[in-house]
Amino acid sequence: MKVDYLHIKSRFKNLKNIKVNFDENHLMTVIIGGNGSGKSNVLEALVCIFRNLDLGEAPDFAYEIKYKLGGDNNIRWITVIADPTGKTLSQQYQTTFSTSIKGANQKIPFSKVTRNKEGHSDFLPSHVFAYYSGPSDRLEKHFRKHRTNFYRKLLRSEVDLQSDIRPLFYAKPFHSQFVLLAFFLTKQANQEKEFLKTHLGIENLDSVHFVMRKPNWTQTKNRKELFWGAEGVVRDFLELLYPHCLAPVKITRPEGVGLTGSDIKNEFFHLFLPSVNVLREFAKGLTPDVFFKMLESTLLSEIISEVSVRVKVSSSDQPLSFRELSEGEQQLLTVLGLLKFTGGKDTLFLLDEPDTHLNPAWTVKYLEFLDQFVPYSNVSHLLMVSHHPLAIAELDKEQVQVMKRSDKNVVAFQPMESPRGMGINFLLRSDMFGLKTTIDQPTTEDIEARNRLASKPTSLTPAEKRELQRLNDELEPLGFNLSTDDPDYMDYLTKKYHRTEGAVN
Amino acid sequence: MRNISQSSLKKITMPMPSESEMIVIGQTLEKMEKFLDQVSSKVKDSSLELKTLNQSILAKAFRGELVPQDPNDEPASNLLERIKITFKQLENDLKTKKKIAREKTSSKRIKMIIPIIDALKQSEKPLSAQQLLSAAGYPNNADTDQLEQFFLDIRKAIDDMQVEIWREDDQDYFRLAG
Repeated sequence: MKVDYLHIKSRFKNLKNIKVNFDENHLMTVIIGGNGSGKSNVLEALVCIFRNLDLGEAPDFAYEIKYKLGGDNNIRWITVIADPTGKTLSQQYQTTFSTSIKGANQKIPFSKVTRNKEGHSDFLPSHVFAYYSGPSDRLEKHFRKHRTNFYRKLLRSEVDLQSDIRPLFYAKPFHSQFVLLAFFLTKQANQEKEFLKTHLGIENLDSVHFVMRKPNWTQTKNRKELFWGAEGVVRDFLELLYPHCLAPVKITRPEGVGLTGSDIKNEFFHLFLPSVNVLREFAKGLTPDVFFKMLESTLLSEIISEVSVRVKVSSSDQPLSFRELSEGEQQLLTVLGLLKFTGGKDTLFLLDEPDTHLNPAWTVKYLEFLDQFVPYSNVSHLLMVSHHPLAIAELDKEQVQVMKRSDKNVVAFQPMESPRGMGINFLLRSDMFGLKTTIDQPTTEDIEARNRLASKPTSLTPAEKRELQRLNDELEPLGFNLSTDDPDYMDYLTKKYHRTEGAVN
Repeated sequence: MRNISQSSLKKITMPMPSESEMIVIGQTLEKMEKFLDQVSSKVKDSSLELKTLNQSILAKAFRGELVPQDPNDEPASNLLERIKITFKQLENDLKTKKKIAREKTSSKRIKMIIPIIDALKQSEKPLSAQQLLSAAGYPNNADTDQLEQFFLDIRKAIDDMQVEIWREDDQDYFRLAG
């Protein structure tokens, strides 16, 4: 899955008649731009598009999108032109495909685009995965229907974990714990464990404590029934887990507060795995991604209340509870793990500001981390929205889209220069971040005049020296005298001033 | 007058109504006073009447003349008996509740969480996990953190080979080793 371009024709939030060109040759495209420039809305538009195509619902707005599926000798270029004013779905959607980017387009009937009973479609991305670090649910709400459908299948025991993962998947913070468990599932050293050790200082698991709760859907009155009548995948999970738990106990305690302010009590089952070896014993025969899906399904069925994982870390003799790790570390783990476990072929990853809590060192490496963890990078596309200049510091210009508000509309464009090799100072002053304009015009002119004089290769005339002195006197109280944010340039200017200073005085 | 001269005092003009106006004002005030007296005496009389009215209504009510009577109503003696019983029950409930509350707080004060080894020593017989939990002093509504402490304590005792563990009927049982 590679998105070539998206043209939003009718209004979607603050976007109207905007064309965004994604880079279909790389794994990643990063969208940058000021607050309120509509970056996140582009991701949301993509979610809406694929959600409605997937569910066979009418489009929310008029658009045209082109994307590539498959690789090698099975490439399909798909173009969807949607217009909500049509009366039927086949009038609203015009879908065509060709086997090369410039090849002749063949029509696809809309019924062939949506998924068949087995959940398969030749013309849709296999998975759309989204993550947003903020508290708003504006992205998440588009995923609700898929989650509800999956939940129903789950309760009817129709889920096959070997293959089933929802085609639209939204990552939440609690996934980070499951990721951690899945990473440690195999005994052999692997890339994931290496990553945990080098970057997060997590050396091993100490213990895992599952807290199960009696779900609201339970109907069994049988008090001997350990798992409240759970069935399907959830039942399998619990029955696998139970023999390995140390001293399982049931406890009844308040779970929440009702509308009248009184406690609502519920029954909890505490299942404790005392070591990583016991965890491996329990999950024997499960691959990390099946294990992950199993945990996720169990969580969805509302039977897991909490998972408390303790980890051995290099910075402390005592094992730490995973919750004690920093927000940034948990965030990183959520995204990386989900790339690993949800990413099949032809996956579209949409990350909205996934780097908000990361330190600069990690931010620079962030895209590299992502690259390491995406399983099929040649047939997947990762779109990321960021505010961080460091996040794009190593990219080619084709991988960056800058969004700006101009007059009444929003535009998206490719920067003039590649960020790679630019250095952070130039990056901030380039057309991508445009920090130059934050200094007022007269001061900017003075600085430019000063720098022109100071860097003149021939020696200055007395008049020029006086002018330089005047400019320096004027700029000094503003803090612009010798300071520039480029150390090399600063060094150069210092030398220049030292040489001319004696002559001026 | 020492500081204000008579001449400056004389300069001050004082507004005064004419004699005819004064008479009219006086009459009006007299009228109003009379009206006030009348009203207050009326209020006094009415409030006296009201008191007797209250009593007469009550008297009527006790005689059963206030509303039409239903001959099918149960006799008042039954009703009184019922009220008596309910009252007693409520009193008893309150007493037991207080008692329970007292017991709860006192048990909290007495019960301390002790190492599971000590709990097993005290019990002198094998305990199931559930029994061990309360024998070691964990409250019966223990939260996740407390239970984690319980599990870690058991794990340590097993690692140190101080206790033995076996499973029977889906339950884990513990006894002191050796």
